[in-house]
Amino acid sequence: MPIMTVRDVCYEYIKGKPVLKNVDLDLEQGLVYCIFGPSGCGKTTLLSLMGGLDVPTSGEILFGGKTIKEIGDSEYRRHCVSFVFQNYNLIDYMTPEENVRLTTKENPLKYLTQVGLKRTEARRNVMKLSGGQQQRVAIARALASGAPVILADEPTGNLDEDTADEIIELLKQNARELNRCVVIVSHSNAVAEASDIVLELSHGLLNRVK
Amino acid sequence: MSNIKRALIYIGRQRVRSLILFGIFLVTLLLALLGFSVLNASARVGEELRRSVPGYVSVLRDTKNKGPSVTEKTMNEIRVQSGVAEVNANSSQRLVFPELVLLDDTTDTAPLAKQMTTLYSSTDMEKQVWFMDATFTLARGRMLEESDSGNCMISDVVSFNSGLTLGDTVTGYFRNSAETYDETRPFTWTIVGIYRVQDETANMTNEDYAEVPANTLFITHADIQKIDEADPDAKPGQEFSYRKGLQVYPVEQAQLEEVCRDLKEKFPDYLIETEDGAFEQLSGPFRMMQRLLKVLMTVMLVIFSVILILVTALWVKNRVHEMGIYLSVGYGKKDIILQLLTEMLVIALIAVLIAWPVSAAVSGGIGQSLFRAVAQQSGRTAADFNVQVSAAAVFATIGVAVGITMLATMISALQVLALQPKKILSMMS
Repeated sequence: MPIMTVRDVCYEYIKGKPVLKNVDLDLEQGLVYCIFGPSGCGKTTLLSLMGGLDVPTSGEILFGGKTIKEIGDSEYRRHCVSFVFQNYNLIDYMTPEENVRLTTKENPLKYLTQVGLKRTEARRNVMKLSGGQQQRVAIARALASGAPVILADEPTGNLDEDTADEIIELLKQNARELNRCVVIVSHSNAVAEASDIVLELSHGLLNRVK
Repeated sequence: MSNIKRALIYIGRQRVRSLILFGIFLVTLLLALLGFSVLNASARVGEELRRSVPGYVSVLRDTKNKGPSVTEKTMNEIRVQSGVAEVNANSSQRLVFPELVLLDDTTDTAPLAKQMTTLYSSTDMEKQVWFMDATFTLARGRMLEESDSGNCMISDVVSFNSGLTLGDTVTGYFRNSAETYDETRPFTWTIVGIYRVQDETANMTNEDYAEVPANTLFITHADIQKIDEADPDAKPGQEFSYRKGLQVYPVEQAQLEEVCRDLKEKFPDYLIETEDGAFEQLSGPFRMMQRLLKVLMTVMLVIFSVILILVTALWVKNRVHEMGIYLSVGYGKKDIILQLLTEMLVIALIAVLIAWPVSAAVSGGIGQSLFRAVAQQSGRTAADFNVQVSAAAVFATIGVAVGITMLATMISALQVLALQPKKILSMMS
């Protein structure tokens, strides 16, 4: 049974000019999905709809058989999905530990060491870490939330090739070991190759290519 | 992570912003605490004045309509009226004092005119109008009591000019004509108190009263009665009357008008009026100061509120990215607003905790310099005004701080409520 279902979703910024046309998608746990497509094709829009940050013009998104409205926006974003952003989006005056603690009551070091951060790095100001380390903190925060679906918007966009590979491997590993569903929006072929299912968004239509 | 913990982390890490906010709060609270303290001290002085210089209802003989005299009977009837706390009766006489060097108070060129002065009696000398409004103050000796027959109080100027001091005697006589007085009937008093005239211009227009206040001699009713009885001009069998009327004090000052109205109804043959001029005159500077302080504090609070609101609103605008992160990880707008409120309240609380002892330390000096001018006008010293930071002032200030904080947060919250998660996501991407 899919953990999340995107059913017949349409979205338009300007009336009569849909960005998404009757998109249908079933997401299952333990798999990594990659959505790729040209700039401005609506990848981030689809991700924001799946993340409950916006509402579709028509259609619905179900999580565990319930709509986002039924679950509640904050509740949905806190317990059902978690985001990993291209520019990490960490609270700049906090330490990695504190950033991770935003989503969990558990010891954040557990998640930070899991993504390869040292204890000393976990207690520094987050802005003193490298880009790769910051992205690891963002992933740790997403993992710590315990949400079954991780939505990653260009998570490797700002990283060098080696670090990007490490991040993708980390997300993949989590999908496998923790039975998470990871949805990655990316332009990267490496990401597409590493994903279990690859979907192409073009002219508002979503097609499975792998 | 709880709202309080997030707020504390923000305050601890964003020190420059927190310090600026703290500075705004500290200045506001210091001024508010000082303002409240001075206002309280001023109000306290007002209450003290109200107690020490109470208003009263004056009951006088209606000479114009040849009304009845104010007698012992009148006093006893009025004393038992509802709302009346006490009654002070006053009388006067005039005699020639040949050995006294009086201040020149008359244009009368008759030989004895400059030796005549007024003798004044009062049931309770402490409540005598001029002593009560501090026109006269006791300089040496003691106040005259009802049992002090044969004793008197004299002014320091006249006693000095006449070479007299406490324990000496003064003698007065009836005036027979412009040049002679009746030496066969002397009235002698021993000086037991010497008073000082604080206001030389007081009661200059009172007909029965010595034109120069310092020429007045205070004696007892019993002695006035003796003079009346010996007066060659007095009608035989005439009852002793209180020529200067009665001062009627109400139980509650707020009842002054009501007591006056009741007495007018029950004693229509007398001239009955309220007398609150002394209090009005003495409390005037304080009331003016209180009004000024209230205006200043209101203006100050409005200015600081506007500054705080603008600063907070600007900083909230700069924190949209942070708020977007909170929204994306599942915090609600309510959590964000509560965090803002907590940050402000924690900083305000720290400012209160510092402003309290600081204002307590400086309030005395500031209060004294503020009160110096008005103190002089009321015949007091600035030291009489004990400006203290009371618990009430602290609570009032905390109330003000919480009010301003809530207002600033609510206005900033409008920006938070307007946040669109999608827009933030776009911005963050």
